[in-house]
Amino acid sequence: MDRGGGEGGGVTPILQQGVDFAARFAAAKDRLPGAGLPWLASAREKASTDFERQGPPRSRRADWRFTPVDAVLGTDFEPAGRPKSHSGFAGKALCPLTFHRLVLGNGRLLPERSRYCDLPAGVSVSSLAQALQDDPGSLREDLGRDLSAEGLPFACLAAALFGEGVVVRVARGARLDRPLHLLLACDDTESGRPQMAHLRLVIILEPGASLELIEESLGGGRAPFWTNLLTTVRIGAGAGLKHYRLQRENALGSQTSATLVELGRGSRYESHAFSFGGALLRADLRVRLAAEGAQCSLNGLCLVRGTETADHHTVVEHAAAGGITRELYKAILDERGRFVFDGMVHVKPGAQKTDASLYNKNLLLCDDADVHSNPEFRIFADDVSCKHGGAIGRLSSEAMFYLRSRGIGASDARRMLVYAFGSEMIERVSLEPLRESLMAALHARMPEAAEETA
Amino acid sequence: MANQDVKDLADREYKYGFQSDVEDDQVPKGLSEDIVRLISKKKNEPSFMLDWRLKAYRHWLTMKEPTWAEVRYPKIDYQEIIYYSAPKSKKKLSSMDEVDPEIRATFEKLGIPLEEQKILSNVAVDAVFDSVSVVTTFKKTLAEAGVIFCSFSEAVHEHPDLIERYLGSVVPYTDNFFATLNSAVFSDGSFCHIPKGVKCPMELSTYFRINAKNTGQFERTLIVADEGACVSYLEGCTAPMRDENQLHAAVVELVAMGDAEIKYSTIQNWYPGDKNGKGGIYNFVTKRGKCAGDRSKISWTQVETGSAITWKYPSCLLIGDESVGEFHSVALTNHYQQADTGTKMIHIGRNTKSTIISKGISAGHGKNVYRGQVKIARSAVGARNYSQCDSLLLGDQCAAHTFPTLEVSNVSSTVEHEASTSKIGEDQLFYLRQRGLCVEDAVGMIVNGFCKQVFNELPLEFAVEAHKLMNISLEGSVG
Repeated sequence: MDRGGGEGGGVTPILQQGVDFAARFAAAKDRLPGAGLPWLASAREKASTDFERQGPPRSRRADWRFTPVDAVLGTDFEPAGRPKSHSGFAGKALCPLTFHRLVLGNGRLLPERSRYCDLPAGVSVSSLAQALQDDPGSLREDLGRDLSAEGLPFACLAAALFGEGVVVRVARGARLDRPLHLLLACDDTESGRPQMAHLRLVIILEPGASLELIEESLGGGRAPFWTNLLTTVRIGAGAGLKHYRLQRENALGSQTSATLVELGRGSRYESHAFSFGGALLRADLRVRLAAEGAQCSLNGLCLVRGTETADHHTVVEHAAAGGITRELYKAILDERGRFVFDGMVHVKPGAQKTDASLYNKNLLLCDDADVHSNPEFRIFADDVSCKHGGAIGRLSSEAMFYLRSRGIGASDARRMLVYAFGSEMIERVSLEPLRESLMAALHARMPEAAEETA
Repeated sequence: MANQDVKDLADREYKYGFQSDVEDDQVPKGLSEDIVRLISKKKNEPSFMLDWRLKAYRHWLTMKEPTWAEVRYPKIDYQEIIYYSAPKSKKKLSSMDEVDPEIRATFEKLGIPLEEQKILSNVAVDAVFDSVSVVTTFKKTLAEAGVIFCSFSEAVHEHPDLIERYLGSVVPYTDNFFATLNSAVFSDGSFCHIPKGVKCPMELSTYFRINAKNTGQFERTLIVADEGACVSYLEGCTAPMRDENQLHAAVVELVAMGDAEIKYSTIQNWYPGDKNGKGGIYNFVTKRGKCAGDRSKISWTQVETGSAITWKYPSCLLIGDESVGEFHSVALTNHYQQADTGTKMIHIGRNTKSTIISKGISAGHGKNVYRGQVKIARSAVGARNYSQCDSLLLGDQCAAHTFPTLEVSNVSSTVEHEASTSKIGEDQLFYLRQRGLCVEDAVGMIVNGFCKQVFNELPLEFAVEAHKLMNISLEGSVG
């Protein structure tokens, strides 16, 4: 879909110090996974051309105007190498070890750290490189998908350059007994140079299947790291996916991601995005309710501080009748953090009885923080109920007064209120162990000292 | 049940579609530096005006027509438009009786009696016919209060210092494609200056009318309220029914100094085209107010029922501390009308406040877009904004979009935005119908209720007119 204001077709010179992606692709294409498959080679070729045609996203494009994209375009990343050690992320994940676990370190599968062999019947999980060796034909529909019309330049780049990924397939009516934890960790290599990894995730739920998936990215090391992720999700009739995305990059880590979800009749998609840090986090989430009675619930909580930027763009497309969307993103901003929210609900002609709500609420803790919020609707059907809202504000002085009048110090009162604001999103997490560790992570990120007494 | 009945309601004819046979004095069609010079010469303007126009024209040549709005229309050929058209028999008028009877008849048909009726209702009217201001009533009473209210061309001659000082101070000639075009070729408009501490003794009003064929209308309104002054200004517009589209690109600038208050109300009822979307006015208007002084207030109220295309974003620059901006809007699109309208509230001063209430109604194949921006600059300590935009959908072919943008760079500010979109509930219709109201009245009542918050902001005479206009515009389109 055209999100307007694109520079499509314009030739934008790539920054001198940045990566020359076309050259990188030309050099690497014969060594990338599945290089022997003609259909995949041509899909990669097309994606690379699409990226070059669109040009790297710059602030002149309406949907990138608030995103300081130089964090990734202004650095000369090299394809990620093997991590020097695993100390950077060992024991830091938010999920218990009892979950099925698949670990990618610097964009490579780490079999010694993964544990996903005891899967129930009907569920298959494998690395993308492995799947391309074993059964490439079954991936053709997903990997060969044309992305040129989506207006997502980094997704094209991931489609061209992906070096690894994960394929999860849940057969008709099957379900995974425990959640699947996907850990994307990164750490320094011997060279100590900036690293990048392009990854693809393919999630397929056949009719009636169900899955809980936790995708956690964990930053480590002292050199900048950039993860560029393209996820395609297909959910069959009556199937349900709970998708948790935890972004925990360090101050030098960046992540750009595009998630394309297609929902079948009566299916459900629940997304929980938690952004706990990263120089630049940009997430594009596109959900298409393609058949009647599909439901999606999109939740987000972003904690931004320092000079970090978190940027969430969501598009929900109601293409069939009777769809339900519930969307709420919250952000807590401190120091010089920036949060961008661009949410769109698009009700297509004929998508009658659509029931959609879209909210974005932001809490500013510091004068230097910066919020850009666009909750948008495009509606082409009349029998709909759609609501949206946005709010940007600071802690209520009345609430502060209430707590202080009960003998609570300014600093504690402030922390309590911020915690309460953020925990609403965490309470929506139904996986108890994850909920608890998220609460602890939120607690650890509470503002340090009280500056004023409101 | 209701849908078909309701659909049948909406097709009443556009009742201002007549045209008047007034001889006009036109310049050749097309746009060039010579035309700009010719317009300036015809108006006998001082050199600073010509310079300003030429600067605007040269800048316009470097600009591209904007394409970001959600409106679709065939490309406008700017060389096919006649940029200046004036009723011919124009000479200096000393009293109302000297006005061309044809023009007077036209205004009477429009319900703008320039004479007694308005004396009774105490409204001073400046009527703009095609591009030129025809007559301004009540000048004397206003002069006694120190208020200057006259046509723009008159102001250029009699108050050149004020014009030079304020023209372009809110909407510079470089502002946007249509405003720049207007700056180059605008032919007339209204000028109003309220001196310090004066509360304008009556409502001021301008009535715009496009009559001549193939012409574009480019008027410019400038209102300056000096410290502590207060004025309420009304604007109304109509045009004859024609098959071709006509362009209207106006600019309105408001300046409010300390403690001043300007209330600007518009009822826009340009010809919307026929039911198949043929003809109608393209209304590309730039309206902006500057709250320059502390505690100043600018309030925009608009009822948009006409035009094939409306492209209009009345905005407020809240510069003075504690200044207030308001925007109340009802936009109705029926048949194939398209409206892309909204507002911008730019908070710069401390403790500034703004309120946005926008009601969009789409019927038939109408398309209605709310596009708004609230920006809180870092300097705007304690700023407050509340926005609400609701859409009502009548019929399954129409569309309603909302594109709000909130940008906040100050922790002490509070910004809230709420929006909803729905159709008329079957239960609401049923309730009214079982109490004996026909579908038409029931829908009218619900729609008027939906718009009430905005209508309440209109001056009394306009509120009555707005109610009627809503019902007329909805005829045959409700679903």
